[in-house]
Amino acid sequence: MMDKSEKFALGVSSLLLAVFFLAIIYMQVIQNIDVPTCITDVEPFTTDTLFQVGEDEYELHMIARMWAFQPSSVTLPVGSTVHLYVTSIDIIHGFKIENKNVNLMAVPGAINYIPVTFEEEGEYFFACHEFCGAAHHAMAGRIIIADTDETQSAGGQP
Amino acid sequence: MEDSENKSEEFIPRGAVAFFIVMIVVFTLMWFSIYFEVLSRG
Repeated sequence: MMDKSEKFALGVSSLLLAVFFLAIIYMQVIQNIDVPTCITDVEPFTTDTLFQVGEDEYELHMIARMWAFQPSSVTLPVGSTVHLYVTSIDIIHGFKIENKNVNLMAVPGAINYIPVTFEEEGEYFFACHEFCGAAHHAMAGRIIIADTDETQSAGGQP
Repeated sequence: MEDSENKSEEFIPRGAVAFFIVMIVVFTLMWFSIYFEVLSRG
């Protein structure tokens, strides 16, 4: 027969695991927070592009290379949802946007995807978080969310 | 001999239970602090 204290420990542990599991389901389904997806069956793009795919929805193809992001500066209106596709044209890089749930690897030969919505105005810095060589520290850029209808992507070209 | 058996039956591992409760509370706080940070970033 199981000891009373063991039953207590088992019960509390199981309850906590259930709470954690339900919290993750809530985050994924109700809050719609996605995890990055690796797309391997599409040929990686070699030019960066930004285009509108719907009302307040944009598709951004981001290229990482030694040692810059292309584009390095993107301007979008408040409330934009960006379908972000990231790849690399040389070695493995990282891509992380400050204060957002965006943390991707930029891998040559593969595309990583995540949707991200910018509800608040401001500048969101992004940077490479995978050490990639001598100028790794300079590999950064910014997404500017402004109260405007204009979109712009620039910079980072070799 | 009988006394010893009675004591064994009445034994409650208070230290282990206290440690377990503290551990669960600390793990929960750590886990939810990261969880709410993720939620706040949208």
